[in-house]
Amino acid sequence: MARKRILTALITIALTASSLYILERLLMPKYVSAIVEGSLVEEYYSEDKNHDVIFIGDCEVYESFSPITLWEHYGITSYIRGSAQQLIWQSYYLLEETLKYEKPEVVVFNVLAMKYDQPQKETYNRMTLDGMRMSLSKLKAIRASMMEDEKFVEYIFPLLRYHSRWSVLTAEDFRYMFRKDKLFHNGYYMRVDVRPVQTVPKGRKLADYRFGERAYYYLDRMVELCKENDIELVLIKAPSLYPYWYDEWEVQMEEYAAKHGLLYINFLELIDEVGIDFSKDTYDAGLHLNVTGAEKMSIYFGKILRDTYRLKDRRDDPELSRLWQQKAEFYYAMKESQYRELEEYGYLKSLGARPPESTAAD
Amino acid sequence: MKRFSIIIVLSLLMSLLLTGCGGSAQPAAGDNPGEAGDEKPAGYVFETEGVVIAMHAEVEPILQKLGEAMEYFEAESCAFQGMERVYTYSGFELHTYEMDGTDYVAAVVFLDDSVSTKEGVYLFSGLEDVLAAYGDGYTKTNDMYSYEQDGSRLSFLVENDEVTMIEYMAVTE
Amino acid sequence: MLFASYGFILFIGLLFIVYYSIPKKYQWQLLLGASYLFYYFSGPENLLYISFTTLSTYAAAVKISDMHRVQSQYLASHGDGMSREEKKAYKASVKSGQRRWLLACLILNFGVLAITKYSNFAIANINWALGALGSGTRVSFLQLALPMGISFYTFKTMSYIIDVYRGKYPAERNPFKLALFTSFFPQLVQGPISRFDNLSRTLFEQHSFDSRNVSRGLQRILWGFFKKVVLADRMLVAVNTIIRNPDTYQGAFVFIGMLFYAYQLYADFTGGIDITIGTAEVLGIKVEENFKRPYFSKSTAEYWRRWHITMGTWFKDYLFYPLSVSGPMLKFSKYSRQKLGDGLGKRLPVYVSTIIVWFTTGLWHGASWNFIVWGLLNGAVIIISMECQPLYDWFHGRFNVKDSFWFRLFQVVRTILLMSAIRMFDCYRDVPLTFRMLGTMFTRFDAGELSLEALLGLGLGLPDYAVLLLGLMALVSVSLAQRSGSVRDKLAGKPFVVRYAAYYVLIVSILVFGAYGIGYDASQFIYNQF
Repeated sequence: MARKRILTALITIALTASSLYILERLLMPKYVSAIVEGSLVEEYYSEDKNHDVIFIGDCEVYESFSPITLWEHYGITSYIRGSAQQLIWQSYYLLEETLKYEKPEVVVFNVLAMKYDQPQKETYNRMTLDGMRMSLSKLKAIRASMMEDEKFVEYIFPLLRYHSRWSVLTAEDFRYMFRKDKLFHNGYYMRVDVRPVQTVPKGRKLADYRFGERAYYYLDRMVELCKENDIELVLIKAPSLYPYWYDEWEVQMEEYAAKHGLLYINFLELIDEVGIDFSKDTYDAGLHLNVTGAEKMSIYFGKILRDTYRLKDRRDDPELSRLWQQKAEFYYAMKESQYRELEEYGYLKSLGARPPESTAAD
Repeated sequence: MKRFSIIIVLSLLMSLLLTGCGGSAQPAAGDNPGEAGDEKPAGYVFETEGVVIAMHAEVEPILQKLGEAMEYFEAESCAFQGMERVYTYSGFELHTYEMDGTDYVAAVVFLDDSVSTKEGVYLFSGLEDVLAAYGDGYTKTNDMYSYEQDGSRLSFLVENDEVTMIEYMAVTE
Repeated sequence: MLFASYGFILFIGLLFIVYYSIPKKYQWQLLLGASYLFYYFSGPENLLYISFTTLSTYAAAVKISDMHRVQSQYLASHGDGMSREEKKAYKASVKSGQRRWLLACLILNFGVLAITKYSNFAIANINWALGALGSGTRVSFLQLALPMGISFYTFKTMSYIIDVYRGKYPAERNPFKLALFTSFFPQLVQGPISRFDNLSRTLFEQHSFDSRNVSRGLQRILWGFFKKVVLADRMLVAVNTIIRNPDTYQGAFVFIGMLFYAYQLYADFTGGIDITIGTAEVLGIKVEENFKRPYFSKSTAEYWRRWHITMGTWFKDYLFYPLSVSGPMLKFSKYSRQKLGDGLGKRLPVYVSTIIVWFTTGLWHGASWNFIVWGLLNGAVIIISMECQPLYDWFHGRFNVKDSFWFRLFQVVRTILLMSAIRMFDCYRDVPLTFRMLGTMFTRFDAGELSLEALLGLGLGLPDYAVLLLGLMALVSVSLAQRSGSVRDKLAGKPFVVRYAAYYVLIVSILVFGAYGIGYDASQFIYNQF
């Protein structure tokens, strides 16, 4: 009798928990069309985790480097752990998590995030954190990232955050409940469309150019973490023209790198060397590079990585070659389909781009 | 009886004291006798050629009055979280932010001394002009003097006793 | 701490576990600790107020009770040797001593309530009067925080001291027990206003874990959360849109707003009480009901016997009754009977008391003219219906409709509409605006305005209205079922699968359809600040 009761209780609890889990999966945003950036972080877990280089940072990493190009030109394996407006503490904890899976030779961090000393927007927090697997690093990242009106428990049980989506569910939500197709190329978000740079406003004067204490704190910890794990940390500033990168910021980064013996590269100063043409190599007028820009960046930066850190060319490993062959096929297939879409509609409709006529000032 | 009156009076005094340390909160009777809200633009307001630009105001009607901008720039934020737009007019820049599909005024930044604040401070005015016009209720970060009022912040950068930057900014409490 | 918050759920979850794992004799002490902790979360300085009320009431009650005891002892030993007059004089002297303590206690505690809650209202009126007299001086407002639940615990303790004074029961000798009675956390925020003799029966007892009680309590908590989080907080969006934009929403919209607010307030208030009573039930403590299907009432008087019951009985026992038998009132009664005869002359004193009680009730609800007018209108409706009694009698003698379903339905609907209309006074910004808005229901009522787009413009989508409609059906069905006994008892008789399904549906509806989290304002219980 008692055993029967316990059994009933267990079954009831299991049923309740699993149905709530299914509900949660259903109600969470899927990020498979238009705003795909929310899927960036989770794609990492299904990868073979054996990379020479790990990139961390915001859109300035996942739009500026193409791991496929790095492989094809230098035999370097790499992965980009970036997401939209990824804040520095998020980058730090993502790195901490990554190091539990693998130990790369080099970690590359894009320093634009230094400008944010406080959490900025719940939506961005969510896009970065919801995709992370449950771990201590994730919990710490949540604590560091929460805005005032956010609740910790709503990150642990996202159902509590997304429950109100019940009235806006689409077929997509059902289709991608448990499985999503791959959208990115080792963390690289491909865009083939072009929107040339016209004007870029000058930076407004600031009262205080010094990066915040919190930002420095996490940068210090990042340096520490890499040192402990015997990893080379490289700081970069991607060649995005906006948001404005102040000279005062540049000085601070140069000084920081010198003090800690780090390599720091500001690609804004190397636009000509890299060969970036802002009338062709950007898809949103200078904020983000498109695929031609990212490939140029990869070729240029890959050489530095190879020469400075003597990264081995791994193309003679048959196992790896086969794996990367598949990745390359996916890469070129997507490129082709994006060009096709561009030709058909004039813009990348599936990725939420705007039709060209609406780009003019209204 | 007398003793009791004293006890009562003392106790009342004590209760007054007690309530005195109750901390701060809005007066409970906030919406009582004679409080009418009228919809004037709040905070620091920039005015140029008869066009009033208040922070957090809807941009559309302002743009119509200002006419075509000399230059226009837009920056889409990552993952479609709203568009930042910058319109350049003679003498100043108008920055906007987007919320739920509508653009609002985010900032006005002075470009030269052809425009002035409503209270008459220009670029290249002296610090004393700023203090004379706005008083000493500022907060100072390095060389930046900022005044806040109802969701707006008016800032002056004063270098070598000369105002080198003036900007109005929308702030959220 | 709000009931509808993760913090509260965690709080009671932990409390339940600890409560049933410690030795039973410490249970009430744990509750006291928990209650003070709960109160601490709402603002540490509030602890000062509640301790003050507890201590002053404790001391006065013990003093009064001691006098009772001394008196009976004295009379027992000396009584034989005393003449009647001597006894009477002795009793009177004791009584007057007790009365002083009672008065001191009442003045003190109502004084704190008055100062924290009403001083700014008084100042606003003084300033208005100064302005009207052409004076330029103004009194500045006090910066006082209204301690959470002060109206509720003040009423609780004052009923206790009056009962002790009346000799209904002896004073509680353990100050900590009185502290628990005063601060018992489930009813701190919004009542019910329990009486000491009633609540103390189960509050200080030792409770062993009783799965029936616990599951009944949990069911009640869930039901409360459902009403509050799914229905009330959702409806609040539309109510706010209407009452905050009186220039846009007039006529038919005022009518809609009235109905929506009736729905919202009912779901919010009764939902909160369900959480209170359910929480107490899980702890093995019995808190009396505060609502008895009020929207099924056939008259205003009946409505007030079924809505916020403990408040109504409080005013009856501690204001209406003493007022009616007070010296001045008896004198007035005599006078009015002499001048006006046995009919109206007899009723008039009752009416005066009624008006005073409703004025006070309004004031208790909130420090503004809105509530005072609201209270007075309630009183007026009750008096008018009493005056019209002969008319009703004549009508019912003439037409035999009294027991017909349709006539009763008419009465119920009439009462709901009347109460809802009067209730609009606690919505709109001020009294004149409320009159104006209620007026537009008659002057420019256009049902054609209530298009689907207009309703969707109130901030709720079609799915929201669907939820609210289903919720309304659930509320009505439960109320109908309750007429023949407790719904939870009925449920307990059903097979396991049915019970489980009921739990499951409630939990999932709260989780999914609840109007909580980012995008919704965490709206406080409407009665919180009273």
